[in-house]
Amino acid sequence: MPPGVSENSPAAAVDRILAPSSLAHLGRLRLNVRRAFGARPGNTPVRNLVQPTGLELERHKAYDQGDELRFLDWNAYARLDQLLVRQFRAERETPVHILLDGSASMDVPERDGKFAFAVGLALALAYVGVRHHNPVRIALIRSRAAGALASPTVRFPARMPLLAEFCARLRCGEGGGFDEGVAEYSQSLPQAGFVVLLSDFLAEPADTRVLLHRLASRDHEIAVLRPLGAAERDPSLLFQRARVRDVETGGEKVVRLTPHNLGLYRRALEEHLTGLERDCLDNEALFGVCDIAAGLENCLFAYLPRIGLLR
Amino acid sequence: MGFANPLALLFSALLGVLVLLYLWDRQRQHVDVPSLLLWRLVPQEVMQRRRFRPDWLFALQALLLLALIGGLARPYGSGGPGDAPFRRRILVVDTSASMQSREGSRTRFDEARELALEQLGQMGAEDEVMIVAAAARPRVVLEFSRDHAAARDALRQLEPLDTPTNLSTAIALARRARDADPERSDISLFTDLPETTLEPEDRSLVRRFGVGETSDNVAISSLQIFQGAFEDPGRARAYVLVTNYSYGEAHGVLTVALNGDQVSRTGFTIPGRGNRTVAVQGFSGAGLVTAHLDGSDALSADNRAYGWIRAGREWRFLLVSPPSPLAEEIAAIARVVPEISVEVVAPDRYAGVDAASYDAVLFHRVAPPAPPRNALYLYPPVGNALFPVLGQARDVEVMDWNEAHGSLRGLRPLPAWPLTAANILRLPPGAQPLLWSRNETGEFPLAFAEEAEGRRRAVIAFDLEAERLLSNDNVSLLVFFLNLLDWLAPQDGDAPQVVDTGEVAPLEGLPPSLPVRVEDPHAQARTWPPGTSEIEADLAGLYRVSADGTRRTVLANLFDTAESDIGRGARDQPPPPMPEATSRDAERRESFGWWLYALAAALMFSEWFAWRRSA
Repeated sequence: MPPGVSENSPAAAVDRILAPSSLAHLGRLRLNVRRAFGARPGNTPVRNLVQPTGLELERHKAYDQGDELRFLDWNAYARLDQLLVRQFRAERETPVHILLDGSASMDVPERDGKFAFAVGLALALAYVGVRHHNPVRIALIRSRAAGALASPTVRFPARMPLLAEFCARLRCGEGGGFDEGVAEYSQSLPQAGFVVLLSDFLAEPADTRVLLHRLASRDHEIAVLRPLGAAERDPSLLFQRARVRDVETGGEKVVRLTPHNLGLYRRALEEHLTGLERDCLDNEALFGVCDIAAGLENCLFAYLPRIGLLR
Repeated sequence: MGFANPLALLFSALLGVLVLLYLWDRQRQHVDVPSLLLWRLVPQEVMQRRRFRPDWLFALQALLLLALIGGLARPYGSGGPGDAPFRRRILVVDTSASMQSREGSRTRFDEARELALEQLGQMGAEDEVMIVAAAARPRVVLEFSRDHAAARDALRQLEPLDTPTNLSTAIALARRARDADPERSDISLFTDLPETTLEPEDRSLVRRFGVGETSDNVAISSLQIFQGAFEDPGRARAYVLVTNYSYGEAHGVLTVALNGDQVSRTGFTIPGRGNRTVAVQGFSGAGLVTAHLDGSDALSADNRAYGWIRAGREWRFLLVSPPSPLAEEIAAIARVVPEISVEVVAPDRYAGVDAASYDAVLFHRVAPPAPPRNALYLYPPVGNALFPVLGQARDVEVMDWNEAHGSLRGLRPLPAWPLTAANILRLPPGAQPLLWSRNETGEFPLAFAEEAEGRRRAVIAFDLEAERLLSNDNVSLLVFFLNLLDWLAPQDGDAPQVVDTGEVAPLEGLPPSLPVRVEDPHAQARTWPPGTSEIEADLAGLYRVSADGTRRTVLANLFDTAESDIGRGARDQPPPPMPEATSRDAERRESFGWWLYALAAALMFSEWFAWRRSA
């Protein structure tokens, strides 16, 4: 790590992802996209979509007038005496939109390094996407007033430094508004794609539910990743008794972390995660809780393949 | 059960401060969280509770504070309240000459005395006070006493002297008094000397009250009268060294008088920190020489100096010697020095000479029975009856000498004397070696002197004749010989002694069975008991001592650069506050308090340990 760079800074996370060993591992992974594809040919096989040429045979169909003769399966005609045309599984590019929560809540608790973790995760997923020639864009979603901060769309690994430089400069903004920001940003997307939402989703559950429904209704394939650190999981690591302040709304509460109150907090956190997972299921979105304490590498190479986001 | 220092219990208010700090600290700690959504289940009433709910760390801190306060309060056991609190305070007042310096309308001593009285006024009724006057010698003015009125009177009657300062001795005396009860005693020093003059180990013990700022002083720092041992008064010269200790130019007039008659009057201008020597000669006779500065400086004690010019006289010596070169050399000396006359007789004719009519008799190579007057024996021969000869030595050197004796004072270096031959004489009991040498058998005297039954006797054991007394190479030997003659025929006992103030002047020749009357320079007369053989010259000027018609005179001068250099910057920092009184009984049982301190230390360690664990 360069001198002066904090371990929990986005720049440090970017450096870790760009390490040759990390890139070598990431190069062997690919996004497990089920239905999101674009119009342009690419490297992502699309189930139930065929094309005349390709690598993977999808099916045969009876020859119709107008089909090109060069696609006829002459061997089948010899055996079956039927005119059949080979159809191959189509390969399309998948537009990948990685939407990173830039609200103030992503920056606390500071010792968790939630935002840096999310930036590293975003860059890693972007590399996996670009490695298979998918157009990838990372957008930092801030409040409606601040607007989104989007990177250029990158298709080729040679242009990864652009994304890395973009990610290294990312900082959290003030206030919240992730849901509104995503809704606004999604209107500018020209076609459906694979949307990865990297956020703590600490908003009203109803707003999150509306957001997911809106994205799903526009045929986006959604993956929801919720980074969760040790201090957020167990605030007794930070204090026993304090006046806690919501960094987004400014609301305050004097809290004493008795075992009972700690249990209540954990219950609220559990309800928050359960509700989020239920909303994701309702909208056919992939959901995962990324344990920051376990590390970025553990998340990328063990957890995300396990939940089916990568393969 | 009680408290020797109940005022310390006022610190209990700190407990309230601790509680406030605790509450404030609790309120002060803000922690940013991503959202309050996760805290919504925490009961509202718990979150808003602000009442005081101490934890065990707070209990530790409170206990620690209570232990410290308890230790400060000095609790004592069940033996009762004990004596009223009191302290033993030692006031050391500088009474040296510089304290006479005028600072405006008052002197430094007035200011110091006022500060001491002020301190005295702040003492509790049960406090004991001791007063020490510090000058050249410390003097206990008042032993420990609770009679503050007496202490006040003693301070008011105290006057500065004309002596140098010897603070270290006074502080040592005060420390000895303090060491008898060090916990309860303290020392206050009132002086114009800066703190740096105190011994480093004394600085923490002494509360110093500095006085004095001015440096305006012009002093006679030396009065030297040069009059050879055999010179008459008309050839005497006086040298007066006037020093300007201030940092500005000084002007004045120096007047030198003999027995009150003016001999010279010299105006001078001396730059700051400079000096000037004024030579005076042409004295008309013997008597008291007074040098006086006319000026308006801050310190007058060093503006006057005293000296003495001896009266002229004739020395008559009888030399008993066979014809020899030494006899011729001594006769030659007598021809050159008009005050000395020497008559030479052969040893076989000595019996017919009236030796008592001479100041001293010199025997060369002979040692007849003791003469009635003072005698000098030169190279007593082997087999003489007076000084047994133990052996002979050749080519010896002077190994050491007695520089305290009048005959050798100021002579150096004597080891350059190689002597041709010497007899090794047995040193008579009571004799004082003047020169001695060493051979393989041990040390032996080369010259010695003794004084007994009112007669003086000196012996030169080496062959003076072989050394050529008048040789250019032997000037020291000639001076030694003349000094010895001078010692043999002493001056009139009425000649005054000239000493520096603060010195002890011995009084010789006073009748031991009679009281001694001393009149000091301020014309104050005191009578001392019989047997008094010395006086302390604490004032500059002329002391007249008498005992049944026998008179002695002592002239005391303040020649002390450190004392005259009065610009010392003593008022540099304020003294520390006076310590509080403590109870005698509580001190006796103070182990109770120390246990509380120990408990506090243990609690502090426990809290640190707990903090480390929690961190």
